[in-house]
Amino acid sequence: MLDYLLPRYKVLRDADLCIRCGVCERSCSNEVHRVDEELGRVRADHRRCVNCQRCVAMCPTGALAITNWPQVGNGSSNWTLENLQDIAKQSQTGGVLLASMGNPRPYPIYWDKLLLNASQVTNPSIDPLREPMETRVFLGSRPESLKVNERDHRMVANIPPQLKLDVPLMFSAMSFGSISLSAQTALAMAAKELGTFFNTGEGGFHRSLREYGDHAIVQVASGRFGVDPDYLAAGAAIEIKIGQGAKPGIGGHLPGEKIDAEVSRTRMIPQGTDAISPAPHHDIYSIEDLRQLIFSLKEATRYEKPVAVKIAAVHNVAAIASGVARAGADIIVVDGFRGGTGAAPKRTRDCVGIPIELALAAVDARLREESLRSTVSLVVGGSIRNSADIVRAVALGADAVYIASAALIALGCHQCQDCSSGKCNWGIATQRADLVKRLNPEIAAERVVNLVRAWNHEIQELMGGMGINAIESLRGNRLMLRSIGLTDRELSILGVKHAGE
Amino acid sequence: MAAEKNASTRGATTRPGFEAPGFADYLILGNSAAGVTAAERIRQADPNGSIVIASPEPHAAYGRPLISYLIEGKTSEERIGYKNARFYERLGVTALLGPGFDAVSLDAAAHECAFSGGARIRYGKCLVATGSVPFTPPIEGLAGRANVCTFMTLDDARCACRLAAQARERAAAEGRESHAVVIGAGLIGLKAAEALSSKVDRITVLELAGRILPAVLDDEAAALLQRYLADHRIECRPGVSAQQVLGEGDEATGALLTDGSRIDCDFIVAAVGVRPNTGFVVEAGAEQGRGLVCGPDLQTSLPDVYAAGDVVQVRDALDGSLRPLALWPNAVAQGRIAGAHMAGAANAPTFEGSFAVNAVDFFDASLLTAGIINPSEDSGCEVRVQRDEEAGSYAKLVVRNGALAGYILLNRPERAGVLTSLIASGAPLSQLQGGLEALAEPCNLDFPVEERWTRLHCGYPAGLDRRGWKR
Amino acid sequence: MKRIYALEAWCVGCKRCEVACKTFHSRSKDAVTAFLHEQPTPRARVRVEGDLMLSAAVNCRHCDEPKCVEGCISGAMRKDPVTGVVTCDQSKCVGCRTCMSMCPYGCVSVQDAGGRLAAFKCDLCGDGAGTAGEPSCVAACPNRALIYVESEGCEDGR
Repeated sequence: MLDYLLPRYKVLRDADLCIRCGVCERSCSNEVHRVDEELGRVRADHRRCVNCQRCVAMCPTGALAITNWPQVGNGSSNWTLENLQDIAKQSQTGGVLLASMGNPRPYPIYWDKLLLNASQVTNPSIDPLREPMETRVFLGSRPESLKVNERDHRMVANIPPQLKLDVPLMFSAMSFGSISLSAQTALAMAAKELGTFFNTGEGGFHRSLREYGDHAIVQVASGRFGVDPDYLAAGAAIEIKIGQGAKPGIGGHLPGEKIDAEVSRTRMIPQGTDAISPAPHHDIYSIEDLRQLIFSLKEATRYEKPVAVKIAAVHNVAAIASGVARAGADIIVVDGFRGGTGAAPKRTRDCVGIPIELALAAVDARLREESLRSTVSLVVGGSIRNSADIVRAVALGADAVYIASAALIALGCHQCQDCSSGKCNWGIATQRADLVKRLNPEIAAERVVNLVRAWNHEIQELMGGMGINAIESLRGNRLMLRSIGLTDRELSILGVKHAGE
Repeated sequence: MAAEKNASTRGATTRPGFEAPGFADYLILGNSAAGVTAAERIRQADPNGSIVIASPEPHAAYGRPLISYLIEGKTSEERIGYKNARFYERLGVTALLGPGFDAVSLDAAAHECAFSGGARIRYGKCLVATGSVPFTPPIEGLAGRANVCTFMTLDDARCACRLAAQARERAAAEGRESHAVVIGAGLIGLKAAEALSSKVDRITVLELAGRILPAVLDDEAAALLQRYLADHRIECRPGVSAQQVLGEGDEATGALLTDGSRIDCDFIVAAVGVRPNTGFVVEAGAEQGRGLVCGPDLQTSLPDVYAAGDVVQVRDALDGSLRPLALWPNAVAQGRIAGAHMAGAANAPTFEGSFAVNAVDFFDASLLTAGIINPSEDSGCEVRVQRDEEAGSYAKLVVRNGALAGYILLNRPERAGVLTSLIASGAPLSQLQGGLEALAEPCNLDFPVEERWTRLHCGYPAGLDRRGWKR
Repeated sequence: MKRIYALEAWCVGCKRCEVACKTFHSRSKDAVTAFLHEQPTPRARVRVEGDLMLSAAVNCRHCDEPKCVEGCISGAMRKDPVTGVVTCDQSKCVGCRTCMSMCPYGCVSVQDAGGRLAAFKCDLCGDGAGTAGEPSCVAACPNRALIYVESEGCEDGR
């Protein structure tokens, strides 16, 4: 069958700068570049290019750039080139379209419509370089009231287990299998350095990372891969994954070719078999069922570890979150529809779920209304892009945020959205040994640490500007937000005033 | 030749009126690789002891093998100095350089050495590093000719140059080609031929043995190289030598050859071989085999008399034979060891035998050889040969008991040192990735993981693991 | 002294080190000029062995008792007694290749240096006369497969 698909990208090579050193050829797992010694030049097979930009970064002379394939569509904003190409692909393969990373569609991004406040005259701003500025956060359930024994100044109330975060962010779940061990190691090292947590995802807990257990959240998802009592005990907290923002309602599927010896051992499944996480937990059909799992896990870990429940931001997320709180979760995680994934059906990724900003505001409001907010911590994820997004999320009611795409970008990810091919040139979303070794976790961890430190400085600056010296004082403080260009309906859901009000 | 004064020693102590010291803590006889290296090593271990270097050659130490390159113009007298200009001064060494400082007798009991110029120097320790002298073949009519030279020293090179210039001038006047004859197609003879090929029209090299470079080549490689040299107007005649040198008075004009033929020539370079320059030490009672017999500390049988370089009888680490190893690297290595022992340095290494490694080039051809090259039929050696006619290369690898024992690499020099190290270590080739085949392109990654780690990570900081991460 | 160490765990065989080395040791110090226009062709002193799966960039070890120096007939190859850096003075080198036959790691090569042969080897990107600089191969390595760190005792001469 004649292939109707167009290349997506075109490799631009500046002939004046190309020295034919072959670094690009050796850097590309998609075999785009080829040094042709006979012709004395380097050629490109544009069709194979996924725009990961590894060659662009590696080229010693800066001779490379990737551009869009110059083919134009017919000018229709309905039958766009992308729509045409999707049809061409499916009419050739008969398959579900697969996609990776987060929702790229141009839905409104509410973060960008929210402006932050600053102090002027009536309450002074704070200079974070001169005065302490607290970004530490504790996650976990709180007792309804504190009882103190006045005689010996001891706390009588039983404080449930807490996670202590030195920065108001954690690294969200990415399994060993979906990402390389190098990538997960980097996140673990960074989490330890930063005083926060990484998340094993549903991929088991590799033995080489057990030393980072104090900075790990171990996940229990529908496939229960890698779960045993040691696994539960190895982390600082347990997260039950009900859903994921990138693909709500969908399970996971790690194809057998990615289940090598190490992945197999870590997930506790046979080598080469597909790792299929069902769409639902087959033992959870109600809030009561969820409660049973939560308490089973607490029982199994002697009530020493907080249990989080992660749900995707969907239409009735507020009611679901309320149920999750009542089921006994210590932490509720809400994941918005722009969150990333290693692989998801394209239509699901692009069309299912709701923005995290609206979900967060709704959940926080609902939990307050029901007097549940203080019994549970709220963490949100799904495309936190910078420090201002974190400040806005906290002001909307989050205790802390999860970042994953941003952390991967710090590692080297260029968001080419080709994770599912397993040929990640940056050594992140791959199990191919020659590619995995491209990611030296030591460097990668340093990059992540740099990023988070920089963000934390920015958070401190922004808080100082608002006259707030502890991030806990910012939580749910929606008066620190004003919106720009939103409808009354959006404003009321967000619980935010319009700029000028 | 130009710039004579540059080549002669700076800070040397042979100017008129100078009186040689009567005593030296360390007396070094010989001013080439072994002697100079020993002096350096001694100074390292003993900052204050007096060191005297004596040599009949009136030049600062220079690379003797460079004389052929010098004639070809690939280097100059300004650049052939083995050490930099102020070497002797910096090291605090008294250099007695000149014809009067040829050691003529040694009194080991009295710890005293006498020199040709009459000086006598008492010493604490003495190093014999007097090198080799050309072996003069017993060919009738060779001796006493003014236009016959050897090819060992800078003065020899100057002489050869002068003879070549005269030859050319005369031949041009007579309307014929100038012609030089080199007796001996060993390394020295062929390097002389190469060098002089730029100065005279035609060169004939005679060699008694059945092939050129008999000690370092096999028949096939020798034939290849012989053809190559022929392209450069050097005619090699293996199996033929001079029976009689013909001529009038002190001038040789030709030779009668062992095959009965006769050739005319303008001058002759005699390069049939060398012998250790040890006469005065042997007379003093030192035990001599094919060179001075030394212990592992390189002390001769005479107390406080050490030896290094060409004069030492070495046990070949590969075939166990005893002979001098007249090679530059060997002289340096022995100089260092002898120096360390003379100065009583802590942990001074011992000399544990060695084997021959030769590197030589002719025009654009490179030739590297090491170890056992022509194993006998019954030696149980396995031989691998790779030829690439297009590249003109020839590689022969000799394997014995599963380990590399020798090689010839003609025009294929890349990473030859890896092979040399394999010979030296005797490492079993079976442990190499790709086994014997790996030797075609020797590389560090062929070695087993642990071995290549130790090869390439000497001095690796203990605080880092093998990923480069802090432990 | 500080030495360069290659770490197989991270070498991805991209050969950026070779490009950087060749560029540094060019007259122009510009990769494009060095690779395409300069005569004599600049030479890289570091060599990546192996393939993408298993590779290592092999550099001069700057041995404590360097075999190349031991073998050098011209006095061109020299180990600086203070810095420990082993360098080749190409103006003195005659290209005899003894160093090639001696170096156990294959880290010296004799190549055309503009109408004459000379030995090329790592000089730690210094002044070429024994003072070390900041090695360009290490800076060019994208994955810290080359590190330049203070070495500890190396008495066995390797």
